[in-house]
Amino acid sequence: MPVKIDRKKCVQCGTCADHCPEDVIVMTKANRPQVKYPNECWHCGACMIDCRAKAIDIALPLFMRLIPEPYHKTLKDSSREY
Amino acid sequence: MKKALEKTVIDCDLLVVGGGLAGCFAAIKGADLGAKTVLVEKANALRSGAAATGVDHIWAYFPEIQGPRGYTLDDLVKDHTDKVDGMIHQDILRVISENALDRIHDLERMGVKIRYEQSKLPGKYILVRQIQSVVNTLNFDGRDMKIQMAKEVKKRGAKCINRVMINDLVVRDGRVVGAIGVGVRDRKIYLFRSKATILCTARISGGRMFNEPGPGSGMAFNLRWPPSETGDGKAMAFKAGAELINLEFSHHRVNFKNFVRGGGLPYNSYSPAGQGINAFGGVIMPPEKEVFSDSTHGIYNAPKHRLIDELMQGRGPIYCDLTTGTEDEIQFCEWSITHEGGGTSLLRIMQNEGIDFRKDRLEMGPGEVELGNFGAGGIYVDGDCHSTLPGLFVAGDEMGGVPLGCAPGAIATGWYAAEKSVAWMNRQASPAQFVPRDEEVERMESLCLSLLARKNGHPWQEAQVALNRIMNYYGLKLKTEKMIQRGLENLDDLTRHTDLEARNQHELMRCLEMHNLFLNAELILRGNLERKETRKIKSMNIHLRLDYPEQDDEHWKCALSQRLENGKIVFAKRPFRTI
Repeated sequence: MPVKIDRKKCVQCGTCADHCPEDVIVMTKANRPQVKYPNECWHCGACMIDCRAKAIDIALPLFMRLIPEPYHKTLKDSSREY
Repeated sequence: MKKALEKTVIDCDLLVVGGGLAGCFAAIKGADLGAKTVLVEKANALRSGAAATGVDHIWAYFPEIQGPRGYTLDDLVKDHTDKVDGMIHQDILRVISENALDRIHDLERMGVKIRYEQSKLPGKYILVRQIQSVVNTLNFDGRDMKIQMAKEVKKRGAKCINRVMINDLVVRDGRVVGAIGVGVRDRKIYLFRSKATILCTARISGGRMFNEPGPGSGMAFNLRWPPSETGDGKAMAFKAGAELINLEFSHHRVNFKNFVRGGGLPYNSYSPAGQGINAFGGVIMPPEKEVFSDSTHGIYNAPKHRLIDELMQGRGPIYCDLTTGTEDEIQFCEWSITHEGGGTSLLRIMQNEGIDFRKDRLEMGPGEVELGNFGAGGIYVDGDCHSTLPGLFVAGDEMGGVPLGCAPGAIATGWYAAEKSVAWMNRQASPAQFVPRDEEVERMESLCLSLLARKNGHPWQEAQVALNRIMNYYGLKLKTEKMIQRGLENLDDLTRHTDLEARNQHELMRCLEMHNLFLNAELILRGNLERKETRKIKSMNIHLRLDYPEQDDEHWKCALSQRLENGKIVFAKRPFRTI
């Protein structure tokens, strides 16, 4: 999921769905934001920037990952077993 | 029995299609001039267009800074013209050069921060060198400028209608008298009746035309330019009879590897710290430490294809390296990146992953194909931003023949097109009206209903992958007469066999976008076939024909225009000096 919305922090204001330039986020009948079209996310960050509750974070799909040089295991890496 | 779509008729003097930088300024100026102005936007004007999440730099002519150095406005026009080897619309370039600073000051009045206490320059601007040879590009807090501009549109009295996709222009007696659109979130057809119309519908986001989607990726929108930029304006203008130019041009960008962002890498937002290095630490593009002083070259013209050559010669991977910058320089870059579109996302992802420009390099690679920038394909206009169709004006990246117009091109020509279109409409009689039962409206409704009603049709994503495969193979690096003709046959086959299905209004928008991409693809290939030469700007190919490897200035230092006449495409050559 390109956009992660923290349900606990979300104040259900609808700004993310209102501002999304690609119409990716919709409000459900229960008035909760839903990332309905994750493959159409532009990763522009509009929802994250404009979220007043700071409930939104952005993540990249596996094929878009930024890999640092010199290579180091980034923060979320876990141990790897063969 | 298909259920008809509800129809809404909206009357106005000035219709502005597209609510990015150009569209917002067009609507603001139109309303200021007393025209009843309506701005229609496919997304939400608060965060739409190429500047949705910001622009950190806008070039302009600053008389109080360039003047004392003996660099005149004429020099700027000549300088920019030289940077694109003369392939530019002179009148429009002059409009941008003369007006960009006034528009920047308008932005300041809307609340955009453009002056900084620490600056030692007159006006307290922070300026860097970008395209031209002098330090004339403003670095500023542009991240939220779209929000400020869209609010200003309403404040000035223009009406803003979001989430409506305009798909067709309506022509009566040879004049554009309005447009037809469809709701992206509501089941409605919208009819806009106007005295003049300005298309501010952007370039085509190159990735949606050319890039090979990753296998199994489901076609993520990993694109530099907005995915919604699908050539809608070019398609509707062509169908209505307007001339388009430069559609055959394209070039490759360098972006971050995997995450297609970072316009201007390793420079622009990444200067003065950024440098381009190869796998062995060899510096291919040294840091632009002189970004704050005049030079004989603009950094935008730095030979970025050297980065790609490095890969071809076995010295890859290549990296964008800020690690040799001072702390001040890196902080300056981070400020710029924050305000450049998508930059806030980039920095957040880096923060989440523990990646830091102070110690880590990021890999670069050949990125998405660019149809704007140096190529500048779009609608052909005169010096008043007026297309060849009376009543149809154009602004921003949708205008053909203005390479590297960029953000200043949008803000300056948006405003200017509104001024010229309102003056034009005031000299005309009232336009002929069209009504919901007219042929064009019924055609649009029937198209939408058939897409919405179809069962077991093709999802738009399947058509997207098929189009990309064709364009990537036949329309880029292997172009010959036979290859392009084969590409056209493939495209014809695709067009005939595509039966799209839309399960809701959102998918209806995507399906209509695919139709527009198909039409633009045909024009791109036909332009490629017609231009029998290889064309370069500053040694970079913008059109490579393997069967015509030489540049032919005698016959082709001009724009190639295409228009529809009696169901056939008619080509014409348009000189750059006088277009």
